[in-house]
Amino acid sequence: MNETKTFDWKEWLLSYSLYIILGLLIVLVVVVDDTFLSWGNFSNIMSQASTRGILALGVAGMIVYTGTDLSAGRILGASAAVSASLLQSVTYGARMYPSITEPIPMIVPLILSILVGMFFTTINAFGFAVLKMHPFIISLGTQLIAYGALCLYIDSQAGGAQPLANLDARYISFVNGYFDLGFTKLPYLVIYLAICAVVMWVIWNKTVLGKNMFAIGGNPEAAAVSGVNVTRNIFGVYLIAGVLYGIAAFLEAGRVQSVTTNTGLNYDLDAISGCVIGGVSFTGGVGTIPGVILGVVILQTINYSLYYLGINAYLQYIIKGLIIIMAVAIDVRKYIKKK
Amino acid sequence: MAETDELQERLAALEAREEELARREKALNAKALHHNLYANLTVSERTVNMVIVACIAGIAALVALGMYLGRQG
Repeated sequence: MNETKTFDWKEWLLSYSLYIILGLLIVLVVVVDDTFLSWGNFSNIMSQASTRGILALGVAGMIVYTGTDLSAGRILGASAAVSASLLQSVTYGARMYPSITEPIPMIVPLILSILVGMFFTTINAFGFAVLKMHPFIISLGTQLIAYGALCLYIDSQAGGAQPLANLDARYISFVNGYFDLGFTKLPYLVIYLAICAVVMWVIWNKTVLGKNMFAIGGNPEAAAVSGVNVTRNIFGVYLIAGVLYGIAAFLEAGRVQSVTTNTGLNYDLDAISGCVIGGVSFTGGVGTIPGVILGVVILQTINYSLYYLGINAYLQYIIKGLIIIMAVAIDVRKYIKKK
Repeated sequence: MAETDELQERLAALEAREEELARREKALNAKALHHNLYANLTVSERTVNMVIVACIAGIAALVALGMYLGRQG
């Protein structure tokens, strides 16, 4: 009768360990350098998180289907190369297409970038939905195909393999521009991320496709029995991911202002870990758009903190790897408790 | 009397239908549990907790090492 609920601090610490680590890292950075907590840094973090955030919005749909996409980063690289090559300054002598003598409308490279993204995600969707291959395997294959295509494309320049740089000033200001709010700058990139997030929220929560996606992710057999066309829905979600990859690639090329064969390297892992940190579960049928954005921002803040602390770049890779393992372990823990 | 029999028959049919639906639901839920990435997971919660703690310790140690090496130049 005298049931009293005691606070289980061990449970709390384990469940929120990622957020605690983030908090401790921020405290540590502020102790070392108190200039960290500034609007300027917040704006930088959001800017860097934007393209990965858009990529993560695409990957999240696949994780909801109990799948994943290891090729997202390389697809981004290939799409970014297409965008950058068509938007090099027409006054740059070593540009990839010397026949382009007048600046072309920016919508053309954007559409081509999206088409490249959709092409690769269609391969992934076909492997997953029709051939019933494991998403890890099919996307691993696509990753290599996209990387090979990117290397061939960059190597096909008249002067041999060289970074696709010297981009059109219109393009750079379209991507890297900002609104001056007085106390800080609001980068256009953050606005592009917000637009993509709102559109994806509507798709996930207000459309038949979104509702079917959660139904299939939660229980594909039950969804199929209920009359949901599983294959068509999987293709739908993958094609939307392709569009998002294309947009992210277009923005990333303009943000970095150079595309090489390394563009997009490990971005897929950042996107996947951002999703998992944000609560998208590998068990399927679970996830929210605000969670994905929060997860990507948290991961970017951790990255930025490590950089601020002056930690060696190679050590940062190991730390990021541990963070991913930890995020998955927390997800597994939730699964075991539910089971 | 005939009406009672008919009602009882209908009740029995409904009960059979209910059992069938429950059986199907159970089968579907079992399938749902087996299609995800963690389906064949046999690890205990205690082991997962240890992995999380090990990761935290590893991250703390690497951050400390990174800061130390950074200061050494």
